[in-house]
Amino acid sequence: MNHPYELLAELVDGTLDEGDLAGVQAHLDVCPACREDVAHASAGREAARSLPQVTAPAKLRQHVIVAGGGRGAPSQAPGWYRWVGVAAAAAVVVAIAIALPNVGGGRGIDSPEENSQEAMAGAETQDANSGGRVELQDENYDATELQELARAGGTASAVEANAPQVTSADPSAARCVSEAFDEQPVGRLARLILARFEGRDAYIAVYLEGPGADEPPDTAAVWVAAKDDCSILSFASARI
Amino acid sequence: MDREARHRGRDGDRRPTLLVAFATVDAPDTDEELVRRFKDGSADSFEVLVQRHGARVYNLCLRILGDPDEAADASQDTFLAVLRKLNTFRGDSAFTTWLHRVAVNACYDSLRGKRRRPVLQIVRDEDERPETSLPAPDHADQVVFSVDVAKALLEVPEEFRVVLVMADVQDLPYDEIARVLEIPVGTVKSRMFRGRAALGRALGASRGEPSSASRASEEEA
Repeated sequence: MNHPYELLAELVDGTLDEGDLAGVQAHLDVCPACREDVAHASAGREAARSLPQVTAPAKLRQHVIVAGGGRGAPSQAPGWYRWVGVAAAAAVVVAIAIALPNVGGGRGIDSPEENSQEAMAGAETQDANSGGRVELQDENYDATELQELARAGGTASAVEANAPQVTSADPSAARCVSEAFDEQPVGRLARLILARFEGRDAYIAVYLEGPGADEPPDTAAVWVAAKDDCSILSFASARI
Repeated sequence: MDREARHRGRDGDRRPTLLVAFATVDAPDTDEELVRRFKDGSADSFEVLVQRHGARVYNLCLRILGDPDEAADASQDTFLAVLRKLNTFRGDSAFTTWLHRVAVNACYDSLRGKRRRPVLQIVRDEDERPETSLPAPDHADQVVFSVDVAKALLEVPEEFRVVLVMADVQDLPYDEIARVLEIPVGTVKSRMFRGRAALGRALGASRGEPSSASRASEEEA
């Protein structure tokens, strides 16, 4: 027997059309299960609607970290970074597992094709990248240039097109960015740059994120952390 | 790292915390205007969006997940995801529709994680209830009832519970729920009815009322 759940929902809501009422009543006359469900649904509706709106707990407010704001903190950090929260504990392991094997690889700028090959290389990639290669750039980025970096999606942006490419091993760089953002950077780490952001030495990590299910990346996220204390400096993202 | 430790922040007291109430904030700008300004570089616009919708997102997550800490984490994850994706938000749907979708996905992620962990059984311990032989103020009865409802809600199958929470707790219209979940309105109504029935049945069972087997659970399989 088919049960007219949609119409029964309207019956419970009191919005059922007069024209449908007779049909629904006819079904209820012969379907004790639906009669019982209607009684339960009416009680359930009343109960659910009685639930109060809950004020967010005080400790939730404490969880909201002022990253780069507040007294004594760098003034250039935008206010909205205060909303950057904390990641799940499991993400610590996951983020490091994702980030470290995909860093650098002994090259300067990694092309998307090369990164794809890296992603497929599995254990070999992990070993090859354990040194953590960082691009060294004599650039002083600002928010606009970060956005350009995001739009470039893991390749060289117009800002850095003429910059000499030098790399250096720095295993702590990816970890610094990951920790600054409480392990939120996820996806494939396409680039890791040591440059300046608004005059401050900074690690700039470009992650490529996809929707999952082996679909290609569709978003580039640029995470910027201060080199000296791994605090948050900036963030940008763009669809690629 | 335990939950409290990571919530304190990696470097303890060096980072001050910001006490911001997730209260509804009345600001003249529409959400879409705030999104546009954020894309133009106004970082404060995001903060307004969080303040405006934080309590709503938290309540949605709380009723779906049933645990305040997990709801807080899911709320944080929601706004982090919004932050990361806002520049690429095209505005094909209303901001609130998109926000609810992100929040529901964060809740589903949390539920999936929960399934991988040992599940603590929800205990209907009569000892936890106030002494019913004593007269209790009306508001205390209401609090006890709300606790019972919140517990019973967790016995409603997830896909029905999400719809039920959005409709009856969040008071979203069915067509909006359909847009959030990207399902037909008829499916929303169907899940709504079966979710309500499952909740009513769970509440009845918690009071020791006889009931037939859960049809919602059977048909979900």
